[in-house]
Amino acid sequence: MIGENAREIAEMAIESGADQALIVEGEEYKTYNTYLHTHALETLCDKYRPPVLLIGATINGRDVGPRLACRLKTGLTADCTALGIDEESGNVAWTRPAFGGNLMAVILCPDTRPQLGTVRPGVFKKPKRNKGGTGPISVESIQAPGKDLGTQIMELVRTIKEDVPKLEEAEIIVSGGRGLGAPENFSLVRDLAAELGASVGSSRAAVDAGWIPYTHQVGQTGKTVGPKVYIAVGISGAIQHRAGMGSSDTIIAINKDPEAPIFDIADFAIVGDLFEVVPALVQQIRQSRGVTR
Amino acid sequence: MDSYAFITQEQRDFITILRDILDKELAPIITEYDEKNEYPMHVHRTLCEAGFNSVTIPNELGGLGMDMVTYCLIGEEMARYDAGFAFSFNAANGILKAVYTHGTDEQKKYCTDRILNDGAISCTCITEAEAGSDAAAMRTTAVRDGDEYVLNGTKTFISNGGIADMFLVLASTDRSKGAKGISMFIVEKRHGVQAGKHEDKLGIRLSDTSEVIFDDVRIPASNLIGEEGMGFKYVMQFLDTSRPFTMVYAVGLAQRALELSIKYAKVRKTFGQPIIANQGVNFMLADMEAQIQAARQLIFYAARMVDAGIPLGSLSPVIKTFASEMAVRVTEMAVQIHGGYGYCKDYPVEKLYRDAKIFTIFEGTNQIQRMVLSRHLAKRQ
Amino acid sequence: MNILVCMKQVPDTTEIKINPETNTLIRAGVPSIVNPFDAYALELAVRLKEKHGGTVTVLSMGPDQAIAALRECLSVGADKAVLVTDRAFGGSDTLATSYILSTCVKKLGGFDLIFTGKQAIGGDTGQVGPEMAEHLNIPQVTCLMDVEVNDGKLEAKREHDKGYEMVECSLPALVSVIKTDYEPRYPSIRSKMAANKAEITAKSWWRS
Repeated sequence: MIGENAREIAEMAIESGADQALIVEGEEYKTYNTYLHTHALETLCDKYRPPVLLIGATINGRDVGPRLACRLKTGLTADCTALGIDEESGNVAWTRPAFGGNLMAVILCPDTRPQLGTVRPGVFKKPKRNKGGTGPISVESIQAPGKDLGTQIMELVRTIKEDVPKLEEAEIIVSGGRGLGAPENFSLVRDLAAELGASVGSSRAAVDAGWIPYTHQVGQTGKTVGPKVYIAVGISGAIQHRAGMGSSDTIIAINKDPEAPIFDIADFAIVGDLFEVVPALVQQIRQSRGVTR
Repeated sequence: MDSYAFITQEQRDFITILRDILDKELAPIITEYDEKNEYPMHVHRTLCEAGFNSVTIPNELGGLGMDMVTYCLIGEEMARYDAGFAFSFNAANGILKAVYTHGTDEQKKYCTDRILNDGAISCTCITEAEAGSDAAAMRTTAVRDGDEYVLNGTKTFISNGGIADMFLVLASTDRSKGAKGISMFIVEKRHGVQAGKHEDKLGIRLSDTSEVIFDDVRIPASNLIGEEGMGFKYVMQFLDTSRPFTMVYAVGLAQRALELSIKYAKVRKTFGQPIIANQGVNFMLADMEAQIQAARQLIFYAARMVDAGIPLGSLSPVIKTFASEMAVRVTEMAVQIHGGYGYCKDYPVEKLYRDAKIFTIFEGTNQIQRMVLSRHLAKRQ
Repeated sequence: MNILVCMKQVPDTTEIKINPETNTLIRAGVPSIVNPFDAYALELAVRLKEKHGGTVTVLSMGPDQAIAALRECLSVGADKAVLVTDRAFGGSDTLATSYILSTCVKKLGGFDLIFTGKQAIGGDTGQVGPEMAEHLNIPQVTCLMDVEVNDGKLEAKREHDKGYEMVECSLPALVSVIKTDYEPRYPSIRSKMAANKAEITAKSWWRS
């Protein structure tokens, strides 16, 4: 762990099943910096020579991963959704989606070490924490590689107000599209999402129209998600959107156009006016919640 | 695109650019603008930026200087998305054709600059409440007063009338001479032109059709095009050459109706099979294709004649009657093939059926066309 | 400003078909497009050029058919296009690709800023950009949404889970672009005609 809360997270990791933890602390590691983090990981890899290194495929994880891979002249498999061991060679078998999830590729890195991979967030379930778990936590002291760090984060601007899970980790997502007609109608999507404890997503059309920020965009040029339930409201289901949510467990689509392509992949298809259906759905959920209490 | 065997790669490229823009900018809003009865100005601007308003403007005036065949290929494709939009977008041709043929160099440059550089929308004002087919009976007057003309009158059913910046106006400078007393003028909105009633039409609703009112509108005398009293003749000449190319929009419209019908017929099942397997349906599709192709090739042939400088003569009313009536027949069959769904607004064919009807009425009714055509025939040896 | 945009020609996913028997991509007859993220990158690059002056060069590693994609880039604001091609490049992983492209960058020389798209639809790895930055020993900003250049420094708007970050970066640098607030522009008829006539150099430096 590299960064500000390194010790705290290290303890969490040990309690979740890690055998040992290495932490890199220091004022300079407070915010992410490509040069610093790459150098730190390189130093650790040189010292400990791990055969395998896994990094979370977060925005920063996918920033440092390739930089490190190139520095170590080794292979990196990005955004993996499954991990295994190739029986014959003993190499890690990295499984990752290609072509927006239309194809699953299994990659091996036979000749170089470490074998690097970034792992897609939200795919694997978090292990249970065993509060009493113990294990060694060693502090690694790593100096910055030089004065010039190349990049510097000046400020963070928060645009996501809701305190809900990230799209990639959400179990339920309610997404809105062009069919909503106007930005204020996203309130319908938010209402439904609130009732279900879901995250709010969007098609590209709604983002392009300026109705909702890009961080909510699901699809080929947005986020790829695989929740338990995906509810598409007023989304036609162009293939670029489907590339981003096609692997959801259950897809519910609400659209007044019976020919909408989203219905080709929906498990439950509601052909109707979303302005009638969504409020009715919200009403039903509220009522049923009242009953079960 | 593939229906014209002699299409060049360059022409294909233009159509690809056009499709890209219209797929993203026009296709998603057609239903909305059809309901609102409004012209999507932002799409107009995007197409102008890409150069589509300069296709037939000569090179020396800053345009792309392309031939009529290219113009028709582009026009048909635009109409495949929306015939009303295509018709309105290309309405600038009216005033440009007039000044290029009969105007002074200064007028040519002025009008071209207004359209290319200022992005001005233009329209052609001929029709009046009491002067449609009988255009010579028009009552709008242009009275000479010093070095100005004063225009008074009301034009009706003017395409782009409500949104135009620049107007090509036919007005009478001498009512006693009837047709030979009509002159042609360039008028700017800022001269005091007012838009009147905005028509609530059956179809081509993306095209603005409005009344245009001239109430003591004063224009410089230099805005007269050509000579006094020649206006009617000038207009008849260029309507003759422009009419066929308005019909290319009917072909685009009909083509879309056919494509939708084929798609539907393959998917819709009755009695256990797709309806395209039924001769009652597929014979209709065959008829639609044959008629569309015939109209299209007739128009492209005429385009080649224009490019070669050959007058169209009797071919003009032939194209007008054939293509317009084809569009009405084809869209009617399209609705029939879609059955009940074809009659509902959820499906796009009812709009095409509504859009088609205008083609037998405007640009000279088909009755007038038959009159003109029979006169041509009577003159033949 | 001397700007480089790395572009990859990819199959159009709207037309993707998977062979159900072999479970591989059917490439035959599938139209090719400029990778969508690269199109955003190019638009940002062209806007910077329009504001600060300079040139935008587009570089692509691929087979001869990628020339069509390079022409598309020329029709939307790029000034020069270079294709680097060689049979030996076939089957390259990201490390090899980034090495090849970086070598080209060094040969072409003198770039202030290099743009890449975040990832290529298809491979979806997002690795070539950062790996190039490593080869070239320049700083990188990934997941860029907007960029400005002030006083010889880059000011980048970078994606963040909770919104976005403003990042300052020294030049020369490499950036990878996700999505911008501006849609990539349409070509005009004129720019398309000019692009069709343009000379595109196909380099195979290994041979010369």
